[in-house]
Amino acid sequence: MIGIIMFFTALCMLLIGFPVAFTFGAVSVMFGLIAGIVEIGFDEGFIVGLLEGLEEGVAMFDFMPFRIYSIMQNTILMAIPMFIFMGIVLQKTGLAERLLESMGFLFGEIRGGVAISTVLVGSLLAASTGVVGASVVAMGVISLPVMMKYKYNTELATGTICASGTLGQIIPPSIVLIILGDVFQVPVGDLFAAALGPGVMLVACYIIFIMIVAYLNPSMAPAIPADPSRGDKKAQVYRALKDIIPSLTLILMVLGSIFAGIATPTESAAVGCLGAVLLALLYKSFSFGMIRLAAKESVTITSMVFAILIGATAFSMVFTYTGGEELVEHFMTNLPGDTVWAFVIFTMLAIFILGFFIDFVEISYIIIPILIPISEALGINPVWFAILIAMNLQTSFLTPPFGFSLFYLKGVVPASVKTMQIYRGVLPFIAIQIAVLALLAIYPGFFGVEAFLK
Amino acid sequence: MLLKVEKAFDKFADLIGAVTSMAIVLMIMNVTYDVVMRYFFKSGSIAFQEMEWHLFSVVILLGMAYTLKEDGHVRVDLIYDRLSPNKKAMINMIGVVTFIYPLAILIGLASVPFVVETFQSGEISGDPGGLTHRWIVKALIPLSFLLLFITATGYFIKNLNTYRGLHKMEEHGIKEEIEAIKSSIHKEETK
Repeated sequence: MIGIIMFFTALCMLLIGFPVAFTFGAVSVMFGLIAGIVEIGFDEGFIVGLLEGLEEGVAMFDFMPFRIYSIMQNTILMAIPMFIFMGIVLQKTGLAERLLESMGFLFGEIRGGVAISTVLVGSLLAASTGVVGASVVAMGVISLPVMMKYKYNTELATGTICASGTLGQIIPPSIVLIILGDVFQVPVGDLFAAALGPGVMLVACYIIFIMIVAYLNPSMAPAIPADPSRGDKKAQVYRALKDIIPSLTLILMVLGSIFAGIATPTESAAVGCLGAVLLALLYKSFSFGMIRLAAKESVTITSMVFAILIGATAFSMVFTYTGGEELVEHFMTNLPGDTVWAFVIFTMLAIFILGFFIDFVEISYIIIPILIPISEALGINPVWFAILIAMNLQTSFLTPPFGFSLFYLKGVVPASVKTMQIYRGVLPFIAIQIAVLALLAIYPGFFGVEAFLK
Repeated sequence: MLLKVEKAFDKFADLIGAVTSMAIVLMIMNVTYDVVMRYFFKSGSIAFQEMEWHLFSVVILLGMAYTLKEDGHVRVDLIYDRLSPNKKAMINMIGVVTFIYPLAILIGLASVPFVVETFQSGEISGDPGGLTHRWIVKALIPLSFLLLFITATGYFIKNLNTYRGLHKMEEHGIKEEIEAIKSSIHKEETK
């Protein structure tokens, strides 16, 4: 029972706003000590019991160095700083800007064309830089003014940008998938491969949605007049290809070598970093300042993830010690209806709701480890379950009022765009994501994933 | 006076930042080298492969302290964002004392015997040709929490200075990040 109380205490403490990693760690320490005291009891007098209990509680944390030491040797996690580094270097080459400029107008002359281009660029950026904030900002600064100028519906324009910018969460290589691979103890390459289908499906659905809107109501997403200054179609296609091919080659090499099983994600990421630096040299955007910035950024993000992992490790130690796991398992396996489906639906709902408030890193390291023993016992394929969770976590980037992408877009839109318009704009895209999530849940075979282990 | 102390702590944290940034660049070069050796020359050295996670350990363990100074640890900012700078500073000061200090002391102290044992037994890598002196990499654990303790103290002083109105709250929020990205885009355009 102490474990459950601890869990909810920690959640409440998080609301104060002190960094999650330390809050979770400290709450675990506190409850670890309490659990120690409860375990020993006061049979031999108050003071003796208290001291021995504290000792018992403190002794629990003697395992921490061993846990930390095994995290240090975890080569899966090593891929995280490197993919971040690669993404930032690519971003600094002005990849987003170039793609948006050259590809952004390629389809402009068809209805909804600028929005469709934005989705396509978004998916390319997702596969290369994967930096959600930067993608959303770049689109907000470059594509949004174009869409506004040609009288695109504001909701459609902002929704498209938020949704496209968020694709980096599900389209590999994605940090979410690496972390989930670590949590579920499945090869990250398998997750990358399994995420590809649903990711492409999302992109296709976004485009179909935009086309339907543009077809039904041309005034919402009008075709823009041809701009002779941009050269004829052939010159435009040529320019777009010239801008895409170098980065596309890099990303195909990185992902290809992982999918083909030639290299581990960590090895591919390192080579990807080298490739990104070479591209930066090619585009003449290379500087040591840029490398320093990319290095600093990947240090802070990686240590942030690691700090949460330490907090979560302390938490799970105390949680297991106090028998919290059995309680959760008892609860989860006694949900009404079919056990497996009740479990899947309940966890998806819980993660969806938690996603409004807390980050994917916390959900992955604190909530999901509690669920894994149950999903294993139910014979659920961890790859399928992980992708469901990844899709679900992606949605949390879009859900108002705390969606990450929304914050970034709000920071760059002109004053004429109301926050409510942005919120309304993402709703259809959230609906699409939930639909694809449901599709993956009900017909996993369609995406080539098995729902259950045999 | 306190402002000077704060500056000194900031400098110290920046030094950690420089070391870890260096470590990450070295790590990338290290992994790339190993990949090239393995796939193109069909050879490789166990020592170099072990160096990968040694460098990774430097990044994650020491980076934790630097990240605190940069305010890079995620918060649930549901309420925090709307508070006045004074209240934010108060939360941060209380957080340092009640959350970070106990955690850092407990885990830091628990890891000292862990290192001493390794040192005394002279543990080396289990693989032939691996790195020796394993206690050094293990010593990063107590060092990490010591550094965390030190930078947390600096963080406390920084927030104390904010609280006393000596300087404004340092904002590391999303607004500054957006501005930074925006300015880099405009630079592109004017080129």
